[in-house]
Amino acid sequence: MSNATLEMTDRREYPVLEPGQTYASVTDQIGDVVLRRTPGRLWWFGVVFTMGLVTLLIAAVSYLIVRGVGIWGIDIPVAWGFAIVNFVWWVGIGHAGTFISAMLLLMRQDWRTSINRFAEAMTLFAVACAGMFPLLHLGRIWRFWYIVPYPNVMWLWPQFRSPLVWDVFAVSTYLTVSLIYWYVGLLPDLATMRDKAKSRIVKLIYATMAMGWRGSAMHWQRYQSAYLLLGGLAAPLVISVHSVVGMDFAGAQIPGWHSTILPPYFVAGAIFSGFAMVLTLGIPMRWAFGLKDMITLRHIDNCAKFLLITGLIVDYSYGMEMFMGWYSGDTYESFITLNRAIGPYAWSFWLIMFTNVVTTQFLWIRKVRQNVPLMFVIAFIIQVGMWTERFVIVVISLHRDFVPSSWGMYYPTFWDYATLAGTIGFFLFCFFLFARLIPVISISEMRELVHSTGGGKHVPKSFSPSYVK
Amino acid sequence: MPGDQSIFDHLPSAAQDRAASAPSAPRYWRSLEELAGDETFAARIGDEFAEGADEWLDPTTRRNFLRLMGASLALGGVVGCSDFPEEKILPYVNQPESVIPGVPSFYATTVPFCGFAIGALAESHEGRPTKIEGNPDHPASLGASNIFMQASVLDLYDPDRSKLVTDAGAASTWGSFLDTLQPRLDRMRDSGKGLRFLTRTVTSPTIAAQMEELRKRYPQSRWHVHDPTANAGCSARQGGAPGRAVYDFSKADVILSLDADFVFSDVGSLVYARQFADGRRREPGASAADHVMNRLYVIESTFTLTGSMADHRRALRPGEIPATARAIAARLGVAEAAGSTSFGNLDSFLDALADDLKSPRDFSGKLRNGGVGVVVAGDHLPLAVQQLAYAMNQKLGSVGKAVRYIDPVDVQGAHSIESLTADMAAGLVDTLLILGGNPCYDSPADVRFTEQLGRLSTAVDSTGHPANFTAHLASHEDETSFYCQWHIPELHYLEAWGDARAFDGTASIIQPLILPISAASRSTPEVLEAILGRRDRGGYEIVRAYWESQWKPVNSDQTPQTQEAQATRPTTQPHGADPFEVRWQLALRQGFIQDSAFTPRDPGGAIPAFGPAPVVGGSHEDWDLVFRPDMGLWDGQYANNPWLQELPRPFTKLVWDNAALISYRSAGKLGISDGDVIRVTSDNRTLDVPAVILPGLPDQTLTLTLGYGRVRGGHVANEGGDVVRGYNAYTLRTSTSAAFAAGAKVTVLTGERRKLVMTRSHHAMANLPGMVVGGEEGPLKPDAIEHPGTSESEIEIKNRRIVRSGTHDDFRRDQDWVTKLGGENEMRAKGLSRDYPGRKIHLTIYPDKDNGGWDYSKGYQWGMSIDQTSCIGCNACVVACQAENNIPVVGKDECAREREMHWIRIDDWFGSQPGGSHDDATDEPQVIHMPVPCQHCENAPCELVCPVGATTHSVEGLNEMTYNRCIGTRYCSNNCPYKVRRFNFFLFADYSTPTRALQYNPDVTVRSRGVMEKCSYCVQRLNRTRMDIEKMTVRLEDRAGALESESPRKAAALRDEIITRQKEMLAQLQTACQQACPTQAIWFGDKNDPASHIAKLKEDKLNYTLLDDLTTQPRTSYMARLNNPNPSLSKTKRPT
Repeated sequence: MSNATLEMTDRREYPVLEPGQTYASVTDQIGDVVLRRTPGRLWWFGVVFTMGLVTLLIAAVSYLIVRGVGIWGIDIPVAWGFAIVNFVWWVGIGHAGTFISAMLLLMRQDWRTSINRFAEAMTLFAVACAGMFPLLHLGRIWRFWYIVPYPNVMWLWPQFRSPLVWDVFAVSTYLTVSLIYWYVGLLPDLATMRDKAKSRIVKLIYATMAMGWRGSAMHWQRYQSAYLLLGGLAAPLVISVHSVVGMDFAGAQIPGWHSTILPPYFVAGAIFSGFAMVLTLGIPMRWAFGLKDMITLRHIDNCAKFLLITGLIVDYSYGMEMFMGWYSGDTYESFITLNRAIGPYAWSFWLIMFTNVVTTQFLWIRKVRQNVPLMFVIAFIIQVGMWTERFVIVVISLHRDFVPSSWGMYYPTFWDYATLAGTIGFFLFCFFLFARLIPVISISEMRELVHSTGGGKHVPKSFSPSYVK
Repeated sequence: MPGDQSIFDHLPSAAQDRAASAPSAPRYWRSLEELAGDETFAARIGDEFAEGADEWLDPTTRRNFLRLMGASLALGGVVGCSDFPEEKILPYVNQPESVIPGVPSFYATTVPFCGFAIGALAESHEGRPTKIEGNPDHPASLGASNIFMQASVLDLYDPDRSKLVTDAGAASTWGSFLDTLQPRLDRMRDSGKGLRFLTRTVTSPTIAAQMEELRKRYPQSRWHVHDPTANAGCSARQGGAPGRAVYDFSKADVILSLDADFVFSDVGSLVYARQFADGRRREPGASAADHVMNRLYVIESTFTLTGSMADHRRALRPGEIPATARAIAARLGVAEAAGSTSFGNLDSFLDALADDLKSPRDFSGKLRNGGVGVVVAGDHLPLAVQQLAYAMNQKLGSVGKAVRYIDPVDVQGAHSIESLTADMAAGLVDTLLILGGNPCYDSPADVRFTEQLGRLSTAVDSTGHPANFTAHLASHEDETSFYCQWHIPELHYLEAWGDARAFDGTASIIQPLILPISAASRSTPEVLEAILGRRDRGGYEIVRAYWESQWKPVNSDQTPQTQEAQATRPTTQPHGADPFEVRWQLALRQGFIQDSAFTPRDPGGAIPAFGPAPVVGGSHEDWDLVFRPDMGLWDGQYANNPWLQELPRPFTKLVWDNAALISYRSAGKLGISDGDVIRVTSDNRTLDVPAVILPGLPDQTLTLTLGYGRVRGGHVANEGGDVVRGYNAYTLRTSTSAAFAAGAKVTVLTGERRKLVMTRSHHAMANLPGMVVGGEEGPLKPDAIEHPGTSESEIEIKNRRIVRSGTHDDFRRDQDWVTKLGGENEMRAKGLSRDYPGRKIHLTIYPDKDNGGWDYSKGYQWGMSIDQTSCIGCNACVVACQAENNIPVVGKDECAREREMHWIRIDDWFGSQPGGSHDDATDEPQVIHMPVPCQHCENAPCELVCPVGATTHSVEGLNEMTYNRCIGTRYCSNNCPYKVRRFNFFLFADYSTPTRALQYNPDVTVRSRGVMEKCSYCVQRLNRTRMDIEKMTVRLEDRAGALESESPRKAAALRDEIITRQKEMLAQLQTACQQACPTQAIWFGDKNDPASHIAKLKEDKLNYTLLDDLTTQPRTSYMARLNNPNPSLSKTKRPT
């Protein structure tokens, strides 16, 4: 337990696990959130509020299907609007979870342990939100399956040159692998919950979900190699998914989209927004569930460093885009660069300059990184910034392209906002349920951490779970 | 009676047979009233309903309620029968010989426009007319059509058309109408005192004859004519003017237009536009030196389409135009105009202009052989200007060459609406029949016609019955119907027989294609005929009888009644055939009566002395008003036509509204921008109107367009309810200021704005100093028009190479200037590398046909070429496309969200005149009209990104849409650099209006919600032609094969014939836009045939493609705009 003044003055490396933790204490602290504690008023408020937003989403989607995508503000030339902005934003958020659990696993980062579980859950819910939009934005949603390669008597296949088809594969693969990876990681904990549960029905549910996990050596041996393999499988997907989303744009020839920098830039932006979301969710959660010993300042500091690194890549990409606008000598490129800065949507450009460029620079400062409330605010600002960045990419590029006679504007409607708010509500709603039903931190891995750190007494420079040897 | 209207069979011989056998034919009825033949019974039906409605106001008793219920149920059904007779639909038992299901037939008919005839071919699918095309043989059409002709087919199916004869708003019948009228007529026998007729412009010989007969029978009756646009290019000047001027611009080398919009707003404009364009057109491949262009000077008070085609244009305040005309006349040596030569800063311009008119020179400065200059004066200009124009034309020697004068084509001798209103006020009128038109909406504001009509209609005699009789024949229950006692539904021209004369006097027959949609409808000749006591004669009989009377063999001592009677008869008369029948059939088949154009007459007579020189300009405080018909709704008669409401108006691209057009400088002075409402006060009348800024307008002058502000126009005109669209400029227009008003005051209603919808931001298309683009000023301003003089740095910074324009001189100096304007990329794409001359450099990494790419050199390869030198921006292609391809209308709100569906749009680009500085652009801008359909790129960016393969490429080079496959990702539209794709954001197509469905072209899918659509190059027409060619080829090949053994020589000859016929059939193939185009600016065809016109156009030096540097390889290409400015007026001398 540390107080604020100590945090501000103490310059030592914070532990990944506060001292004094035992196997039993971590199990209880994490497991009790689900099994023992009654949900507080705040939780109920959150669930009811987000359920309201889910209802709004259902209404917005129903009306959309009844009337058509015309209820949104999209038009010709801006035929993609909030739906695609939201899609890219959610997919981006969905990156951090798998990045944390798979990439950091492979890179033997011990601090991932406390945050990988909820980050992965966040990934799943974010990808679920993201996955809605490509369907919803279709003019004829009831024909969405035309995009899937299925055998049919007409011998009709999707048009494989279109990045939208790659998107389907990329997102669905990512969702599948993330789900399996998350679930496999859950198995030992589900067994723990089964064992700790008092109520018979709850026991039965967790028993079913635990799929007969008994914790034998054989189980552990197979479990750990499977987990590692899945980690290896998931890691490249982190790169591929948002690269493909980047290619959705790079594959087009619209100035502002037609750029080879987009795939890496999108990946960096995705991790940027993903880590921001980890902080946005983790900071309140650690406070609400009393998990400050497990999600320590070390975690927050590391996340902030990731924000800094990816943020700098994003900033570099902004710079390169502007540079290429001038250096290419291309009429349209230079125009779109100018149009972003001084066109009718200049507010959005300058907003992302503030959120993603200026704000990021504060993260150079250790005191900022370790200031929990401030980090929450910064993470929130970055969320807003990353959403706006996608707005800049989608809308500004489309609204004024080649032929000035076809220039236009995009004004979002109530239903645009309703759908965005609805998915945020859906995401949070899922997260509230998750926090009450599943251990938000991996108990088994935390116990391993207790073991390897000797109860958090000392922190080895390079720690990794035993199976990564 | 209506039985005659069943003569709608278009085989004239069949019609004749049926007409002959009519008396003995079984009688068919379409409604109970018709069957009963008992007019009182039918009248009671209507009365019962009206009384029933009254009963509801009484305290309702139970008995009363039940009685009413029963009556409503019983009679509701009966009344329902009266307009749509219930009919069983059966397939043809005996299929008519001429009808092949699925194959449309075309009938010659005539579209009346402002009372004048324009010949048309109406396309009929199994008996329902779906589209109007121009009649290539008709002298007023030459195969072209205008927006009004194209849109008129939709009017036929307008669900708002009135369906019942009404008496004071209650349902009635034609029979009771006549029975009510008859006693009055009987009373007036041989006098006609108090009997008045009010019509629009009439050119119909039949109606003229009927009017003559009426005048004989009722000598004191009077006929009045009111036509709000009669002064806007639709009518000859009357009284003292040298007759109606008919121009032949093909013979004119220099044209001066004094406020005359002869390419659009004239009843002869289809022909004038063609002749004008032909005089500028360059044969593809012809050398620049051989190319001769006419030169157009326009001096006008607003921006017209003619002005946009000018080589030199000056915008002057309306009051300055007569003085300018006079100054020009003086320079041309018109003696009567001498002494008033000076015109301030315009002097040098007028000197050069007069010199050019007198002695047209070619670009080398040599006098043109036989060149002639012609002066065209707007019909709305004062008589003095008309006479000046005549004097100038005489002086220039163009009378008889480029202009001829004929007798007025519209029937003369009618009185005005002013005299009618005065008589109404004086109590001299008790029976008024308004046949067509809508005077309560469009009569001059000072005449107060509506007030008098209302008084007339509501007056009652001592017995409480209406004292007067007022009736209105109109297609809709409009403003005038509201003030009349009786309303009679008017037949659409596609439902009625009739005739009319074209701008040159050619008489044309209006031939119907469909039975009246409402059996109660009547045409003007039918109403007049009934008043003449011949109730049972239908339109067919009336028109036919008239022409029969005209063509009766005349005794040599009798003078023939009309010029047609003198015209030569067809020489090929079948033996024994009735000569009238032969002629009549020929007239029906052709759509017009051969050789019936008026012969030019020598106007003769001395030019009257001119009055004092007109005042030059108005005061600097006062404003001038210019009244012009709207370039969509015209005078308001098309207000309920959604196609025309949603038609982006030239220059402003305004839809569903009208606005006061104001010059850039005047707007700056008032401090207003588009949509700000200003209050115009003229002659104590005020009108609040939103303003729209347009460059190229004279300062202190507002252009107000007529046609909006309808209060009883229908669901479209009134936004489905009581909302009034736009403002009604008629409320400021008086009988003395029909075209112009001076001395108006303008104040800004600060803070008041009206939401105006412009489908393209016309400012984005303007290259004007200080012009605000989308709220941003400065570097985002696109450079709209590229001239050869554009500096290198400008090209680098702003050049998008979209519109290219140069002078005839530029082209002569450098044949490659168009390509060079396109910049390095296009030069390279065309193998014109600066660094490696002669080496072909590919700008794409994809293989060409020699390396495994698609081979586009086989089969048909479709291509389109659009000539910007010819395009006048009249929108005919836009409406034609809409009619052909079942393109939905989306409404004002959806237009505001940039969701309009037109497959072809016209971009009007503003820029400086070639050689002019950019600072001139606000005053004398050059406007280039660029129609943009789908470009059908060979490397189509849209195809690449469609995830489901809904848009694909055909082997013939078409970019095709498979609607059934489309799931609506809209990625194709995003990736289209030309933004020509249109998306069904909602269910825009109208599936629910029963009559609307009749207009749909059965060859084109009606697109549902959620799919992308775009120009298909009218693929349905291509496929039909291809099928026809294949059928023909197979048939003849078979025969050639059979002949092979007998006579190889004959077989070879037959094979040659196959090829000839294939080419002929291909040459007939036209897309809808091409077919409509008055100037033939759009050309379409198989570019694989090197002999084809399209292939030659594609090879031409002026040919370029849009955004060539993207290597999309469009199949639609453009011909750069060529202008022909007067070298002595060139502002900047460019180095050669």
